[in-house]
Amino acid sequence: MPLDHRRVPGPEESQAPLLYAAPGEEEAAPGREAAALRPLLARAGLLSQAEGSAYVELSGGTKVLCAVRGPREAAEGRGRLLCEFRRAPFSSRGARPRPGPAAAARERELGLALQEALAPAVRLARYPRARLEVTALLLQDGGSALAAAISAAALALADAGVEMFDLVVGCGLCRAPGPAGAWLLQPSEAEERAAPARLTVALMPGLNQVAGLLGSGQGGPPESWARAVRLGLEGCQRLYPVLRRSLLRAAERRAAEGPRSTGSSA
Amino acid sequence: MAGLELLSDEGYRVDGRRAGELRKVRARMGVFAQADGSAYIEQGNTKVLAVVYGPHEMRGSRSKALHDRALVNCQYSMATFSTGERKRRPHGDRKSSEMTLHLKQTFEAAILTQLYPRSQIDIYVQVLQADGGNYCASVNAATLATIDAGIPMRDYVCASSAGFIEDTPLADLNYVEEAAGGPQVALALLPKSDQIALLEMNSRLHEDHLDQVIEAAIKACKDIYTVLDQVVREHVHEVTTLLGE
Amino acid sequence: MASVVLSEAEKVYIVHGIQEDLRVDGRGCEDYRCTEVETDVVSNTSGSARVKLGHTDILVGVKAEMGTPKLEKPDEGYLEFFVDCSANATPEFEGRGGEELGTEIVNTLYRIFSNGSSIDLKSLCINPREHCWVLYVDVLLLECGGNLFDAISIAVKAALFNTRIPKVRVLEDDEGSKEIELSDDPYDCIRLNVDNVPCIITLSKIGCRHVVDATLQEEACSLASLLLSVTNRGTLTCMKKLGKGSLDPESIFEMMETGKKVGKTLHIALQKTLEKEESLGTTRQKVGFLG
Repeated sequence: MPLDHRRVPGPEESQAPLLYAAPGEEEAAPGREAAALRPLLARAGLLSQAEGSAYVELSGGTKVLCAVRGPREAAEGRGRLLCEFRRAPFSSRGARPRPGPAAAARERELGLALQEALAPAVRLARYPRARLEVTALLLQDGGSALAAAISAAALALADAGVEMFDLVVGCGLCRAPGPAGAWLLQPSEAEERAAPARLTVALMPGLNQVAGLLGSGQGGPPESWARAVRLGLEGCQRLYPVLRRSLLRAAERRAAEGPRSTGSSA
Repeated sequence: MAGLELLSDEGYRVDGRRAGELRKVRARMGVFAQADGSAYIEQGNTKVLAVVYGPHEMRGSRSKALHDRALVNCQYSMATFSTGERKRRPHGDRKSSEMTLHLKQTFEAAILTQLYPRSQIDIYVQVLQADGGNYCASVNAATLATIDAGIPMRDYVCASSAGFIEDTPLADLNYVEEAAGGPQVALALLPKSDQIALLEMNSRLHEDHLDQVIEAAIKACKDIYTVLDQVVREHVHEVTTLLGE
Repeated sequence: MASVVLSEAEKVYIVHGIQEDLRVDGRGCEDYRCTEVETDVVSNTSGSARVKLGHTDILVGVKAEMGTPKLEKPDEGYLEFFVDCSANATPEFEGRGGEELGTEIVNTLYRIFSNGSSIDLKSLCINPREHCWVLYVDVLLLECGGNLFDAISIAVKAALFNTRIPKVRVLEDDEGSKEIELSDDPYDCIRLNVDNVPCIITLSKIGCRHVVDATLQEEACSLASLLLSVTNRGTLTCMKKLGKGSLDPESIFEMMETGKKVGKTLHIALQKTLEKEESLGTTRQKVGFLG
């Protein structure tokens, strides 16, 4: 076999690093109340280049920045909502994930989930021959990333003055390990990794309609999942005032700044 | 050709056929309800599905429309599990692009395209299992599908491959014979008018033998024609009885 | 997907019918269409199945190839999914047109198989950290007549049931180097236990009721649907909202109950069909696409 001079030849025999990692090193997460929400910070209208933008941070590390561009002219007939979900290369724990088709496919799945959660809220019929582009950038993944992205994207759409039926609030859940594990609201990254099942719900709180639902894992019988959905929807209702307030504050800030007259509605 | 005897002294091939014998051909028309025309053919272990959409108005850019005839649009793809080793992608690689082009050329020669100016006819071929003679089976399946779609053609197009091993021309090569790397001819024939729609040859063959090999391929094509014709007649009979005539 | 254009009147007709638990083709809201399942249709695969659900036509081939286990799971094999939305189904899928739908389906398949219990991946390991079986599950979409996800999951389960992986032995010689020996007997093979493989049940919300196994026309009337993957014991392993509409919380709970009920019956029926076909053995007349 020809020698590849560009590579440093490694030792002939190599071992997986897992061999040296003692099992069970990670400390157990401190017990917490299942229905406890993590403090959430939301701020709308912070980017000047995009038509609308929002930033959502969950205490414990999840940071999502979302921008909306449009409505832009598009060739095709109906209005379209395009959503993109991206992870910053430095967003997750450990080594930088290798970019490749697998990572791209995962991002696309989350982008699609984002789109399906937002589509019921946006009045696309009012934007014929136009497209709205929503980009969510996950700066740091500290758990419940998709939920945070959904909330941020809805805020950004509202901030852009896009006509909507309602805001969309996302909430993440995961099931604690163990046969009778309880569902936890807004899990941290460590909890998410250890969880046998995960779920993200998105709610339009004003209309009380579920806009999005994505979950998988060993969540047990439908009754258990139903409990999770109920818990998640309750969580969404509790998050809603925070998001509303951030929108109002953005509108006030903008009014104080002066000439730009587009108001946002909550 | 170490080890493998492609033609025994008694004149039998690896799968027990004679030199000029075809593999078992089984076919069915009208496999799918949504397509305008569809057909399925099995030649030995080679299994191919063909679907025809059209003639319909141009899809995508209208600039490709031809003002005096229909555009024949083909796609040849192979299921990822069709070959012995798994394929990474079903179409878009060099080999299938070449096949796509061959199919297009073959059917442009056979379909009466001048009857449908500014329109488009789609022929999609899907190889489900590959065991030699993929192009030929594709052409035969596409012919049946085109007939099922009711698109007027000059004639059937029948295709068959032929090889030349140990001074004997062999008709309808299977995978083992193809992989042996001997000379190989693929021929698409319009059997009634004896016109050749496509002729392709690989590898090296002495000029003196060319006639023989082509003769064998033409013979095989005509045999296939008999089978296809019977399939079409049976299908039409079935359909008319269903209509209650 | 072959697009259907429905007029308002047609939509109203379908919606009103469903309100009365009577669908256009005479089914009730919780009935499946007639489903044909045939296994072992492509002979050069380790396992294959073709499923015809109404006009939806799916072919799945499973190929077992040898590979190296993933670093984080050194003693397990793994599954790789690929969905080819072939142009046979509709001209829109020509070239790269089907890729978007293909990735969506692939992601869903990974999601429903992502829990540890669907398939015993440990049985696919040959020797830890070095060799394992990789099952390439390739789905070929031949025709779409609605309810793709359910049909695909049925076909995948049937193909995995049909999969036979040759038995291999690891021989170690004096110097410690390992050699892999394939069993001489072609019938000496591993079968997979597919009892826990879930099936997808898609419930489409039409009007204020929900239906299973929607046809293309019914899908055109539905704004939102709920995809559930149900195991034979009735547990859910995945749920996902599809479509551009929203759902009422109460209807979600109803749909989950229906999904569980329908899923259990579907699993029993499928298992029975597969076992019946299996018992026929070589005497079975293979129909394939000729039937």
